Formats: sequence, C-alpha cells, structure tokens
Amino acid sequence: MNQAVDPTTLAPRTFRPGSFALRDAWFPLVHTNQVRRSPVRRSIHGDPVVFYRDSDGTVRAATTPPPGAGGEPRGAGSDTEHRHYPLLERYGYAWVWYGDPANASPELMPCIPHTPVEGMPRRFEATIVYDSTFELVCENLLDLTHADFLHSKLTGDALSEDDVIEVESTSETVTMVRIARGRPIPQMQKGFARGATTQNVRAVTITYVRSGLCVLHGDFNPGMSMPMIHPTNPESRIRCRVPATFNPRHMPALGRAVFPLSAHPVGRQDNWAVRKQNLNYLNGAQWREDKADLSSRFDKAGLRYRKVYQQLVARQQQGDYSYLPDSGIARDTSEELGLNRRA
Amino acid sequence: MNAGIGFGPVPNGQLADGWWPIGFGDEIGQHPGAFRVGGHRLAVYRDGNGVVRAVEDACPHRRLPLSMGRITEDGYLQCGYHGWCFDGETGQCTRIPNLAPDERVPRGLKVAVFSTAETVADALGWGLRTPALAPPVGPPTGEEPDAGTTMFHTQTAGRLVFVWTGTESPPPLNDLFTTAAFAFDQPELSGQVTVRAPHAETCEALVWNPGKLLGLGWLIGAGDEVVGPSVHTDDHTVRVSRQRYALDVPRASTFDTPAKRVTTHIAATDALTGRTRITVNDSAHLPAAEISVALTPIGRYRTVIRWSVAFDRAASSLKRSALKAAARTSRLHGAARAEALIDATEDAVDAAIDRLRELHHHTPLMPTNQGDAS
Repeated sequence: MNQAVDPTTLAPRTFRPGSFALRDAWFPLVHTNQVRRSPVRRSIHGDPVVFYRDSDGTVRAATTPPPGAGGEPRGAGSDTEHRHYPLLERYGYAWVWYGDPANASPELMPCIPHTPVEGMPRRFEATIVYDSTFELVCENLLDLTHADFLHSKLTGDALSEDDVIEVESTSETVTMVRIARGRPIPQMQKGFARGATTQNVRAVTITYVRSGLCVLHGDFNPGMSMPMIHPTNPESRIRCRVPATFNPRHMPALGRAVFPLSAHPVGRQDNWAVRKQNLNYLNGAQWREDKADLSSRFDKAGLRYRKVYQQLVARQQQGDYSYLPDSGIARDTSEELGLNRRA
Repeated sequence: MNAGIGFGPVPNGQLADGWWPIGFGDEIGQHPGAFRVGGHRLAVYRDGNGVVRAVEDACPHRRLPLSMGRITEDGYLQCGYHGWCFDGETGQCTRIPNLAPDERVPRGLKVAVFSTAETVADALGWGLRTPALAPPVGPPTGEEPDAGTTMFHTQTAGRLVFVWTGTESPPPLNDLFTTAAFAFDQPELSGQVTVRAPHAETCEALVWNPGKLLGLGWLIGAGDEVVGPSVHTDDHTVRVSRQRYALDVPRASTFDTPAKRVTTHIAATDALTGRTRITVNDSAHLPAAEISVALTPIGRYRTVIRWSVAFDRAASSLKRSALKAAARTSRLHGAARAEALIDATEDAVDAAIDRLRELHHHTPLMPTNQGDAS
C-alpha cells in the first residue's frame, strides 16, 4: 500500500461530471422513425446536429439544415459551416460519430443483442429529457439501489434475502450486475407474477462510457423481463436527452403495449433527484473541494464508472482518442445481459 | 474592506462566524425544510425530542439535498435517494439500507419521497409522498461509514432559531438584552418579508428607519425626525433613540408635515447580524411595546426580515386586540416599499448609519455617544 499508486487506477476522490466532452464515439441521437419531412434538431455537447432525409429518403446528419429545408433560426447559422456527420442506422437509431470523422468506423459500434437491427415500432420508444449532465444519469443507472427508494412501486423495495452487486469493466465499458433473491413482488408487477409472493431479480446495466449509452436488462422472475436501450445523449451540462427503446418480454400483450408509457413517470422520479444532484456537483460553491463523496458497497459500479471516466478524460486531454485493445466496444453482450436464461 | 473579523456577507457568499437567525421556530417541523443563510444551504428539522437540528443540505453520499428526505421514527434524517440516515446531533451516518442481511427493512420504506406539493396530486394529498415518518433505524450495526454529514449548532431564543456558521465550537448565544421596565407578553404577532437587497444595506435601513422598513410606522414612527438621533455604540452594538412623526405623509411644497403624532423608540442593533430590539415606551394612546427584528441573508442579494411585536401586559385587553389588528395590517406591507427604503439608505445622512459603517470597517473615526444635532 505504501508503493506509489497510479492515481488513475483508483476511483477519483473528487468526481467532476460535465467538465470534459468525450469524443470519437457513435451516439444514437435520434430514433430514425422520428426523422420525417421536416428536419429534426438535436445537440451533442452543445454542437448542433440536424437530421433530415435527402431526396432518396436516406437519413443524413449535418451541422446546419439543408438549404431550403426551412427550420433555420433567423439570424443564426451563417457562421456554422454546413458539414456532415458520419452516420449509421442501426437498432432503430441514427448513430452519429462525434469527433474526428477519419476515425469513424462501424467496428466501434456497440452490439445490442436484445433489439432487432431494424429497430422497434414507434410504440416501444420514448424520449426523456433530464435536467442534468449525462454522467450523473449514467451513474444513477449503474447504482440500482436508488430504485428501491425512487421506483419501488415498479421495481421493488429493499427487502430481499440477499442483494449482490458485481462489476466488470473494460477501458470503455462498465458492466453492473445486481442479483437479488426473494424480493416481494412490487405493486405494479403483481399482475404478471401469477400469484407468487416473491421474485428473483437480475438487473444488468452495460454503460459505454464515452457516449453514455446504457444497455439494460431487468429480469424479474416470476414477472417481466425488460431489455432496454437507454442512450444518455449529452446536450449540455444541464441537459441530456434519452431516446429510449423497450423490448418487453414475458408480459401479456396489453402489458407489453402499455409498459413503455412508464418511461415518463419513472424518468420524472429520477429527474427529481439528478436535477438537484447536478447543482451540487457542478456548482463548486455548493461543495467543499476537500470533501470526497461517501460510498457503500452498493456504489461499486458507480465508483468504477468514475474511474473509467477519469481515465478516458485523462487520455483525451492528452489528445489520445484511440480505443485500447481491451475496449470490447463491439463485443456480443448477450451472455452478460442474460438474455437466454431467467433470473 | 472586511479585513479582520469581517462583518456581513463577504463577496463569496460566506458569512462571518456568528449566530445567524434562520427562521421562526414554527417554520421548522418534522419534515426537513430547506433553509439558507448566506452561502450555506441547510436542511433543518426537529428530531424526535423536538430539538431543532441543522445539517448541510447535501447528502455526503451522492449530494442529493437532504431537505428532500424525511425523518425516521427515532428522529434521524433519511435521504430520499438511497435511504442513508443521519444523526442531526453529530452528523454521523446511522444507517445504509440493504447493508445488514439479517435486518429487514419494514415495508413502509417502499415509497417515493417527493418534495412538497410538487404536483397537483401531491397538493391534494393523493401523491406519492407519505406524510408518515420513516421506520425506525435502530441501534448502530457497526457497518456505518466513519464519516457523516456536516452539522451546524442550533439554538432557539424566543421564537427565533439561530445557527452557528463558524467552524470552531460556538460561544453561547448572547441575544440582545431585554428592557425589564415592562412585563411583555409572548410576541403577539409576527411578520416576515423577503427583500432583494444585500444584508449590510438592509441592516443600515433598519438602523435608519425601522418603522418604514417594517410597516410599523404607526407604532414606532416612520415619518421625518423631530430631533436628531442620539447614538451610542459599544463593541458590536449600535443603540439609537429617535423621535419621529408617526406617519410618513408627503409634504406639500414648503409646508410642514401634516403628521402630528410623535413617537419615540430606542433600537439596539447587533452590527454583525443586524439582530435588533426596538422598545417603545407607553404613550397617551398606546401601551409600551417591544419589537424584535432578525435579518437573514440569503445568497448575496436577498435578505429575509422577520419581526415580531409584543405589547405591555398591563394594557387593557381591548386595546391590545385593537393593536393586534393594526399590527396584522402591517403584515401586508410589501417588499417593494422596503426595498425602496433600502435603496434610499445609500444617500442617507444619519449618525447611526455612520456608526454602523464604522463598526463594519472597524475603524472608529469619531468618539461615540454623540448626538446628531443637525
């Protein structure tokens, strides 16, 4: 312990979300079925991205709307050159490469095994906007013990026989697996549980640290299985936009149709917390510099995320935008997500 | 400017060490409330014994404001995000849910904690927020982290609750003396107004014309001064005696003011915090009264003025209820008129304000105990 420890191998003492824009990654900014006749305006780390369909119907992404498309704000845009972003369509999203276009490669696209490549129908999509920097939302998703307090009616409370959290990470991703057994069936899931009183839960979050993309699978047995894509697209330090996609399984048809509607009530409960957290993390006057956050063993994944994030920031600050050999960015995650078995 | 001890809020919003009033006692209940004093944000609540506790309004775990949490049955403060519990006396973390496998958390824990009346449903009582206390935390299990949240010393004097903003342990609260000449009731009526003005300037306006600032001119005088004030200062207190026309009626041209009634009051103001007691002797029509004023700086440009008034118990009850009705109308006194007075203070020519500024700068220029006979 007395040996000099490389500080970047430890979780950072002070976490500074929103202090750096990580680049050179694919960001699923918009559901392609939402890009229709008029351009769709989005933003990434404050830079404008405009989606539109060109004459043959292909989705394009550029810094300004195409000439004659309308939607250009008056008196703006003259200083922004019309430049295209590399774009890929997959899993129902238009993925935009933010960073050096020369580095854009389809091989750096994350693999999402639980969603068809052509995407899901419109009714399984929901777009949620959080008033927070995207790092706090990612950390929130890696720390599912918050759900026992914020979303207990939907996902259950803290009453389980045992509750274990496992973390694995690469230089680009953090995987959190929470296994809890013998939890009382939460109120909203009683209809799917066929009279059982307790259920086993296996919740997995895979976070792609550069882009904030989170791929989740919440498996409640007996009960629902909820594979989900949760891209946490950074728009600014006080805003991130989540075009989510659900693929509910093991539910009656009605529940499957209705479940995506829970995105906004649940998102609102999270926003209740992260909105206030954001002020305390970003506004330096609210927090003494010498004070580190306290953590429990349930924060293992969040701390790992902070560490990977800090290492990526340190590398990018020195101009190194490359992906290390261990990044595992495009690996098949179906085994980690536990798609082929029940909890 | 504020070298040395320093008075008033310094530019970064940090307050000088002192006992600062944060609110009336009845503003603080069993649900944690968000209070501000200077640059500090505090979660303030009453624990199981009714003792007021103040802790930093950010959970040391993930920095959610603790004022968004709730109180447990054994009087700990529970964060609304992950359910960490804190002892408001020591700041020590007393519980982290899910930690002890043998200790079951009662079903009552399953609840989303929402801030007050965030939705219409919450306002109507149908929201997700529970009015019930969280389940008891129980004795320590040894799994708690060593550290905890930052707590502030609190003390209650009369109806006011004070917090100590310094880092070292505080001296006892030395609230301003009461004049023992009359037997006063418990304060009969109080009011509070938030002005968009810095604390130091509000303090000067309070020393200059408290009647106009509080809307209590009919009691302590708000009009022109009949004679100059007599000012006495010691280490940290400015005592002023003034005679003013009761009402602040505009004068026509060069004619004398139509106001006739003259009132005399004595005000003692603590130069650091602006805590003030004003006493008015009994007159032909009005019984003796005592007014207590507390100024709470909030951020850099806002100040809360809290006042309460007590009347001599010897006065007839009929008279006292009439006075109470009159004082109630003073509560309608808005922030705009108070702010106008505070703005005018910048150009005020007044001996008491000069003394107060000297105390702020800690450089007495003239001997004290001197009237302004202009």
